[in-house]
Amino acid sequence: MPKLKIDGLEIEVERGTKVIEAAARLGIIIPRFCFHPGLGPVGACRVCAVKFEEGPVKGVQMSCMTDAQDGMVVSTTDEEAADFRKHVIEWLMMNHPHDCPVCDEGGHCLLQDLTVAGGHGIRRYLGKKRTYNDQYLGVFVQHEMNRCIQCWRCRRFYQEFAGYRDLGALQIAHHTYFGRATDGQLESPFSGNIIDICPTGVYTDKPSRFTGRRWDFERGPSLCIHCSLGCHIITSARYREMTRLEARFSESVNGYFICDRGRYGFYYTNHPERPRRARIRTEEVSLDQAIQTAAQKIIQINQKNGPKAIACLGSARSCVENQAMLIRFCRVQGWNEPTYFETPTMAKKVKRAVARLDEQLAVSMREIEKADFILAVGADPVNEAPMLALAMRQAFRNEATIVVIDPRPVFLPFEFEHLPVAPDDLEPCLTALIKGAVHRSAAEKMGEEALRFYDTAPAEYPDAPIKNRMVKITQKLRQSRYPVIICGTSIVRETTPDVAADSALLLRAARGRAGLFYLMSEANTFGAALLSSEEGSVMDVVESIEKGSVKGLMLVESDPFRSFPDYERLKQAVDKLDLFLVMDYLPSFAARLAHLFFPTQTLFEMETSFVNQEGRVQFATSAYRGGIPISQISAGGHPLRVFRRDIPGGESQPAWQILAKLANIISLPGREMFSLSKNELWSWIAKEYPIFANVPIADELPDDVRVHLAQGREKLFPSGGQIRSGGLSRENSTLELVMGDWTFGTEELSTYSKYLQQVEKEPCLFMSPKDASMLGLKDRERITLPLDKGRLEMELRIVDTMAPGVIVMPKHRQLAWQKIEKWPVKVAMGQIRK
Amino acid sequence: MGTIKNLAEGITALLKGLATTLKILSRKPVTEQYPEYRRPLPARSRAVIVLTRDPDGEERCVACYLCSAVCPVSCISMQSAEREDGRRYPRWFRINFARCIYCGLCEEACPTLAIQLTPNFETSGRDILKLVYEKEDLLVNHGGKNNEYNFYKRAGVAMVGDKGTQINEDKPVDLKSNLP
Amino acid sequence: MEASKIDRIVRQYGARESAILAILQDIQAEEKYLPRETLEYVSQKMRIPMVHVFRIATFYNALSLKPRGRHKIDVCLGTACHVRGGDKILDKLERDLGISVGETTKDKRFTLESVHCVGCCSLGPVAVIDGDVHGRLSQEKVPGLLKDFK
Repeated sequence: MPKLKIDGLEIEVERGTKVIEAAARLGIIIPRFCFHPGLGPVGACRVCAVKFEEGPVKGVQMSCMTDAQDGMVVSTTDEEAADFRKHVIEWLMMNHPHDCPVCDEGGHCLLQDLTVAGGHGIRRYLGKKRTYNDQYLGVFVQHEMNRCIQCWRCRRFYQEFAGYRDLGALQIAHHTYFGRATDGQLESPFSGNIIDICPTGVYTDKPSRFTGRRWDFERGPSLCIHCSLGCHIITSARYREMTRLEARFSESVNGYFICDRGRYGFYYTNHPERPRRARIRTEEVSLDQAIQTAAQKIIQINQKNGPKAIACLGSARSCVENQAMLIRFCRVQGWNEPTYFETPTMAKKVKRAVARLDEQLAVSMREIEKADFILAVGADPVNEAPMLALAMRQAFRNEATIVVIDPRPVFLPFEFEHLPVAPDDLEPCLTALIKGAVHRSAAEKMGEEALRFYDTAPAEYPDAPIKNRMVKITQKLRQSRYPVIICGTSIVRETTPDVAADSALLLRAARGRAGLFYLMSEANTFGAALLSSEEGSVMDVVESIEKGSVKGLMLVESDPFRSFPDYERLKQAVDKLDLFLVMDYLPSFAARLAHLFFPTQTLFEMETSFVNQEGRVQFATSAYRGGIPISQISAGGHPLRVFRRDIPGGESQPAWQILAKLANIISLPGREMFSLSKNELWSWIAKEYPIFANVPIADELPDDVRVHLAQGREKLFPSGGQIRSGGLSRENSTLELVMGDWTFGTEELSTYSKYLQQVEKEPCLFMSPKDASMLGLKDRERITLPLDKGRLEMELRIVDTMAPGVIVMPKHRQLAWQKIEKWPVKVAMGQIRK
Repeated sequence: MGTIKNLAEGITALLKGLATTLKILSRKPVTEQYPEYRRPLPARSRAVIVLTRDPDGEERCVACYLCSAVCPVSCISMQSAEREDGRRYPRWFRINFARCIYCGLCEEACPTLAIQLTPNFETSGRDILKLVYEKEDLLVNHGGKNNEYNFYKRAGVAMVGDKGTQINEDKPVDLKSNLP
Repeated sequence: MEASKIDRIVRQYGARESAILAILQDIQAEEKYLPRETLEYVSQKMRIPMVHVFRIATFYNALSLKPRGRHKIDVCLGTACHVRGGDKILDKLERDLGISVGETTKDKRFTLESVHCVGCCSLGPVAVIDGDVHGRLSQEKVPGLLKDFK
């Protein structure tokens, strides 16, 4: 390991580390424009020049292009180097416009900072400035090419790091231009990152255009809750309004970047129709009054119909505190435990996945980048959890083989092997692959269950074209040193999470090292699965309401009308209720129907924690104190001239605090009283759930605490070698309906964002060419799809990258798909018509 | 003896005083009869703040937040926005003169010469809320101390006029040609 | 340019992305420039993003995105030709053709461009017309030079 001296400080770094990174580790930040730790060096800007005084390299050199070597003595403050950097900035500024006052980057602009730091004040060159025409780059990114200093960061991120190719460099030398071939929306779902990495204001954030300066924002570290990955973000709020969101560096989760769904999904918190006041039916009342009324009603129902007559639904988008308090509430009242999952199958899948992750198998996204073989089963990363696709692309750039077994027309921004098989065939396909790549002796070593698992696995996949493609893949898997299995939980069968875990164990036995990565549907699905002990589901609750055993329903940040497959049935059940109590921050359909409504706080207004899909407990601080944004109160004009103590519209409280207050009123004398302190709640959690005992409750934001149920060997192969037989046994007269996610338009919270609404695509139905030709349907035709409770009309897209025997449709906001009696849905072929 | 001397000194002192009074009485008084009389103040004296306009009559302020950032008493607040033609402007702009200490740092920070201090200092009133001036109260119809300056002619962004049409600018690079 | 012609050129290089420069050169040889529609066709056909095709087309001086004349005149302004009066030759050509450097005459006969050294400095001042080098030029020789080209 090379040892070098920078500004008199000695440091030892790994071979291949650049001098600029070695200096950063010492806390010395060498100026840079083109170098970015996430993108690596390119040597385009020349501003990182330092003086090498001793060692193998001598003189003024670029610190980003020079590997750290033994015996180097580097000076960053050397006069010659400083003078060099000063001149570099001067010529970079030669064509830069004089527009900092009207530029949104002003105040957090790297070029501005270094110009001031370098002491360059007056432009000496009197020639004319170069100009460029700008392009329309869509809803998210504002383009202003005059400001460009040709650092190439945008193109390097967009094409090399993210793998999308519609934005690139044109022209040559001092005319180099960064843009698209023609105007238009950027195609990449990671386009917002070019705003973050641009060292000046070429790309600025369009939705937050001209909303304020960095120094005026209330900023804080927070979490993205638009999928289960839990990327780290920084929030900016001003005048009681969330204005902007940026990526926050995380060593183990998202690295330096986030996706556009995360970046622009937060507008639900500023939604003009967001309910801010408590309501009894349609009448707005104070929060205390609503709590009092709710308490009376609850006591009435409990006295008349017993404690089991009120059911509670929580949600997987709620934070740990809300979920835990709801459970505690129900336990103290003697009610049934709250339900977090739509169907029993979903509950089971998630619980199995949570049960199977352990410290050795679970991998973070950064570890996925290091894998040399990735096997994704029932996962569509770009649509379900976009940042995972970016992590997989980094593995691909490191020459990993990537295989996706999924019925949907999966797209990924790199080359990969797609094995499109029906949901029933996912497990045989996966296990056939594993069996081909692992020798029986590896299973023998692991014991009886492993051997049974190995022996029940099919030797080969029955479908010939896919079988042939699997030969090469199996060979690759046999040679891999670090395979990782990614398993989705949305479209797969109940047993698939277990089979994926078993496969990972076998791979680990054979290859020495293997990883397992589950995808879940929502931000805190993992937390919900850890906390809830009942295996109930919304389906069961609806049944109990229909039977009349449940008279009251309490929803805590949950909108079953979005996710429950049968809208009609749910609506009728809700109409039968004596008490329908809703706590939420969204203007959801359930909130509109509520008999009693309580406004709750969003993630940005409270201190919360979430558990991501690998069991990582993560914390978020509040960005601002809540209330109706000033711009909404004053309709864009001057803020009102009034003195008041409270925040207008600031009645919202964290759902768990409302629950605690409610509990304290209805509790019988002698029962325990709930405190409103977060620490007290966390000590209850730690007491009830020992795996949370190691989680620090401190205000600092640790992101390396993982909670896993499975510890050690006793949990291996609990399935005892259950493998779905499957294998093309389905009848040919029906098609299975698979409902998936889309990057934009299906995730609950982000569908309330007005900017994401502008980029979401029209919902359509995907069908394989084989099925389409049997039905005589053509691409882009409008078709009617019969469902149990009505029909759906939409466009048909025929794609050859999906499994036959399956039709795929998104759970799209614009699609009233909730006409299904129960999963899985089989559609008779003849009934799909033009 | 002492008594007579004291008496004489007393009388002299009285007379001396009276003489001074009589002398001043005939002089022109120095007191200015404000508000009947208003003394002309130097142009650079610092009092009430105004927002000036461009030579072409548009408001100069681009809502860059530099004045509010530099203000030591935080009496300036605003919200920037984009006009339909792309020009950046303050949707609202408010100065609280009850707080302002007339230090002039905002004028120094202003990159567009929009915010300027004027000699007009008469702002007192009975209602403190009347000292909160909104944009309509602050905007004037002239360029103040420099009538010629037009920020957008020098900025180098195409918010006003096309690219390459401003002072000291080349025509935009023709992307679809490879000529130097 | 007809699709069949482009197809033929693309096929010749096996539709490999790395062959894009050679393909563009061949198209330019046939068409004298790169029409936008042709580039769009190539982009679709080879599944190369349009921005990447443009990147190549705008990077090299040898490729043109603007229609050119039937004959291309490159006047050398390299050091040797410059001291021997290359700029005067260019001047005369500009006046005679009524265009400035980089432009094409209205009748599409000539395109006038300047280059920096064609490697025959001893013949300077030099102009290259359609690949043929014409050396030891003077302003008087220019009208005679242009006469032969239709």
